[in-house]
Parts: sequence; C-alpha cells; structure tokens
Amino acid sequence: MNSLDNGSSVNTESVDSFADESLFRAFAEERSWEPGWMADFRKESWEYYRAHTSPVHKDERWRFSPQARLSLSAFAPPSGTNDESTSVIDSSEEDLKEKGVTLGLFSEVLLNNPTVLEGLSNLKGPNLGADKVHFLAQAFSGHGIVLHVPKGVTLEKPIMVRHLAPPDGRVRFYRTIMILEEGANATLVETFISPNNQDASVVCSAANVVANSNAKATRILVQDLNRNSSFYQLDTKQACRDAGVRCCSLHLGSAQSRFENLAIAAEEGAEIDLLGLSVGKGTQLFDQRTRQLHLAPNGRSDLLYKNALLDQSKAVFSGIIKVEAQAQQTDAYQTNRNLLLSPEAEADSLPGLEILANEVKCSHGSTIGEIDEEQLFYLLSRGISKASAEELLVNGFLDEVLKRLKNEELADLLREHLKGKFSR
Amino acid sequence: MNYLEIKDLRAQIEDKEILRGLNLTIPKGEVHAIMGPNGSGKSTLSKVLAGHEDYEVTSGSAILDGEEILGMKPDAISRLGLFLAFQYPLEVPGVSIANFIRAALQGRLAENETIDAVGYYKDLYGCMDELGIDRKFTSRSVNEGFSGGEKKRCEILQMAMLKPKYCILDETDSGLDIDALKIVAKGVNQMRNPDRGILVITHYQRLLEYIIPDKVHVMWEGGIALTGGKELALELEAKGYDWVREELVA
Repeated sequence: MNSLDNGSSVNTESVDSFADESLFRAFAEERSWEPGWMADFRKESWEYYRAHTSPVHKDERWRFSPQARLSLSAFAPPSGTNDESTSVIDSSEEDLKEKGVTLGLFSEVLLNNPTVLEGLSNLKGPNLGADKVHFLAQAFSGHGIVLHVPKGVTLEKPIMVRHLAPPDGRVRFYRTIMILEEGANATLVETFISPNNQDASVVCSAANVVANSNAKATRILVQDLNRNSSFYQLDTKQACRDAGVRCCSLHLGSAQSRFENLAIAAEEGAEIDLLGLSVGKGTQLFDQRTRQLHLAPNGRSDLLYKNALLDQSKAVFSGIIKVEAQAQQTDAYQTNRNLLLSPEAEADSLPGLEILANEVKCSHGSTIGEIDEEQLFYLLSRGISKASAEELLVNGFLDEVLKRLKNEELADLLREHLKGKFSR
Repeated sequence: MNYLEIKDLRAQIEDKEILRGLNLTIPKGEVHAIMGPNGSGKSTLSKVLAGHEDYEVTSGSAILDGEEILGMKPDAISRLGLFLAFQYPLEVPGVSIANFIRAALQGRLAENETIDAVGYYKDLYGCMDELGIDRKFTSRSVNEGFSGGEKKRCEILQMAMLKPKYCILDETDSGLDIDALKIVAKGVNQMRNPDRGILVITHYQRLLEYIIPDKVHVMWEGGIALTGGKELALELEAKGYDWVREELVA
C-alpha cells in the first residue's frame, strides 16, 4: 500500500513517471484506435504538462494546502492493460436514442460517436492551482462519462453513474463531458467509490458542464472513496444565455481531496448555483478552490460550501468572485461555513471579490464555528448519545445546502450517503 | 427505590457556590414545586441534576431510584429516566422535531433494535393533537422560529413521548400567555401518575393554579428554606419573597 500521508515533498519531483516519454507513448499506442485529433490533443496536453512548472510553495493558489499529501508521484500512469473500465451507467430514461441523446462511457463514445467530442480541446480546466493534474487528465483520460442532450430535449429522470476507483497504487483520470444544447434539461449524478477499504489509489475527475441558451443542467458528484485514496475534482461549468447550472459536490471519503470549481456565467442572464458539502473524520483533508466568473450582464451565481469537521480533519476554502467590467447587474454570492466538532479539527477560509463592474450585488462571507455547547447539552439531555447528537447536528448544519438543491429526491439520495458516513 | 432523593447537594460554577447543601426528596406519584427569587439557584439545581458539565458538584448525592446520577453524563441520566424541560429551549436548525424525538427514543433501545415507524408516528401525532400542536410541526426544525408558547409545548411533547420517571420543569411558565399556560399545564397534568415524580420550578404562583402541587418548597440562597402544602404558594404570592427573608432571620 502506498503511503500518501508522509508530509514530505522531497521526492515528489525527482521521479515523475507521468513525464516519461516511453510510458506516454505506450499509452498512446494502446489507444491508436482513437481519432487523430484526440491523439493530437493528448500529446499536446502531455507536452503542456511537461513544460508547466509545478506550483511552488508560495503559490497563493495552494495557500494552507499540505500539497505533498496530494502528490501523484507514488502512482503509476494508467496503461491499457491495467485500466479496465469499472463504471456503470444507470438510466431509466426511455427513448434516449430516438431523442438524439448521446450517453456513454468516455471511451465508448470516443469509439462509436467521436464527433460529439470533437470540441474537447476547447473545454478548459478550472486551472485554480492543479493545472498540471488537469493536463494529465487531458493526456491520460480513458474513463468517464459523456452526456450530450440535443436542443429542446428534457430528460425527466436523473442519469446515475457509479465509478469504481482503480486498484492499489493506480491513478485514473475520468472526464465528464455534459453538454446541453439550447433549451435542454438533464440531471447527472456521479458517485465515486472504492473497490474495497484498503486500496490506495488516486481518482481524478475532470468535468466540463456546458448549458447552452435556456438549458438547465444539474450535476451531482458524490465522492465516497476509502480513506486511503486521494481525489481530484477539477470542474468547469459554463452557463450561456438565460441558462441555469446547478452543481453539488458531496465529499465524504478519501484521505485527501482537492476540488477546483470554475463557474462561468458566460452570457447574459446565466444562473449558477454551486453547492458543496463535506464531512471530515480522522485526518481527512478537503482542499477547495472556487472561482465564479461573470463575463456578461444580469447573471447570478450563488455558492454555498459547508464543511463539518470531526476529529483532526481539515478543510481549506479559497474562493473568488470575479465580475468583469461588462457584467453589470450581476448578483454573486459566496458563503463558506465550517463547523468544527473537535478541538483538533481545522478550517481555513479565504473568500474574495474582484469586481470591475460598478452596478452589481456581490457578497461573500465565511464562518468557522464550533458546536454550540448548550445545543449539544440539549440533545444529550434527551438521552441522545454524543455520537448521534453530532450526527444530527452535522446533518442539520448541512441541510441548508440540500434544500438548495430544490429536489427532494436528490437531497434524499445525498442524505443516504451521509448516513453511511456516520455508520462507519 | 421510588424516589429522587437529593442530599446535601453543593455545586459551584467558576468557584461561585450556588447550591449550598440542598436537601429534597421527590417521591413517585407526587408533584412538587420549587419557588424562589431570581438567583436562589433554581435553574442551577435543574442543570446539575441533568448533568450539565459547567457546574462542579463539590459534595452531596442525587439518587434516582437507587442510582447515583451526580457525575453521570447527561445522556445517561436522561436514559435513566430524568427529563428536564428547559426554561429556554434551544433551536436546532436543520433537525426536524420528528427526527429529534426519534433519535431520543432510539437512544433508549439496544443497538440492534430500531423504532417501528408506524407506531412512532401514531404516538407522536397523538401527543401533538393533545397539546394542540399542528402536525406540520413534525418536519419543522426543533424550536427554530417558534413562539415562546410553541417552544414550551414542544418541551412537553418531548416529555410525553419519552415517558420519564421524573420530570423537572424549569420555569415552563415564563413567557407564556394564559392560553398557552393552560395547554402546557394540561399536558403536565396528563402525565401525573403513580409511577412518575414531577418537580415544577417557578417564580410565580400562577402556574400552580393549573398544576396543583402536593408540596411547595421555597428555595433561598442555594437551599430549601421552607416546605409546605400548596397553600404556601399563595402565601408567598401574597407576602412576597421578603417575607421569607424575615422568616429566616426570625
């Protein structure tokens, strides 16, 4: 088993198998069936990776982050022989084909319907610090999910996808490409779990969600990996004219995770909700970076990230609202709340605004609070054990986020996962 | 075995002694009232008995049906059968009343047992109807945005659902109008039975017109200064607490 939590970064750059040309070539060779543009895109991404310098210690984008814990250096790049797909799509929606919907695993779509992915190289990563990892995801991605919904089509039921993390010592790159054409409406729920409780592996999920004019996209990510794993979530969401994107990430598992979220209100009237929930136990780390970027007038974005931290767990939140000069009448909000349930738990919160337009409503707020002792006493005085009381208070604290989903079915799904967190 | 028996109880907070050798016995089947001026230690007594960790017990004992409860954790005391209705019930955002009470009942079961949901809701709705609490409240967060009367009714609802052996009602009448007071009193009276002891803590006699006590105790400077029948409450109301001071000096 690989030990990730050694706190040392001495060796991270000395052996970088991802930069090894023969390994990349071998990977590309195994995927020679892919279209030429894909091979070019991989190579270009890989070269960017090699040319890109690693973030240095003083990089603001990694402030408060124990970066070494998130290093990939102990892991081998994927290769065709040990990287079998373990993702399952569950959709009860009928007539997908008749409606012209493309739904499939990343490699399947690349093989059978590659034109859907032709714009892949235009879909950028969030680049909020883990830029190199995103280049790797572009170069080495063999997994993930593609959902393309044509103009005017509504999918009534959520598309559920379950991804199984790779075996011990492996890293796996997933791409999620969710593109809704004009007026389309769809919900995608992805769950990442581990094959067992021991294997230490890395999952990198790089998602692009694009809602074209008047489209409504909902994307839920549930990360429930085992406590030896690492997780990268590198997401870019883009809402076009009068479109809505609602995203929620629930992070329960992994030893350490870094999630970067770039949300772009690209055209007039775009609306984006960014929701995040994390529950930390043991020494879990949740490193969260967000950027709400307003490029056009009359947009709205609202971010609510809540972290409940037990034991020695730690959360870092750093978010920026950026409103460009032309994006007048923007409403943009950013709230990060942390509940510390143990004196050893830790939260750092760095909210920020960068506003170039003059007629906007923007606010940011962050709180780091401990559990209210009187509130806890109230629960205990009813015969509720301390562990159950904490579970209730955490769920109560997080409930505000679940309500913002405005979908009880999805909220219940996430509540089920939360229950699991406390039964372990 | 059928007593909550408090002997020579001394307790302090931040080195300030509040309870100074208090003696009190509440047998099952009886309702006792404690009256006393502000600062006499009434609320401290209720919190110490419920196991609040801010208070340090320096001597004495509190025996509930043969078991010492001083030093026990609040949840263990509750499971043993003591219920404290709070003077200021706390708001618990995001936790519904139904889930809250269910967790409390679940805490009383063995680990492999679970509550029968159908029976639970039947009981819950029954109690809510009795107390005039709208059934919609089951999904509302505990005490969040409740009026004073709603909060106190919610306390009585919890008490009715948990069926404790001993109940302590800490100034349950504070902040209630007469209609709310009557409803709360009715709820308490319905819980009077030979297997349950009830201690009503109040500043005013008014509540005791609706919950008729078997005994009235007057608390003074951290101890029980006077004990009498229900008429003692009326006497106090008429003469005021200064009368107690004069009695004690005399």
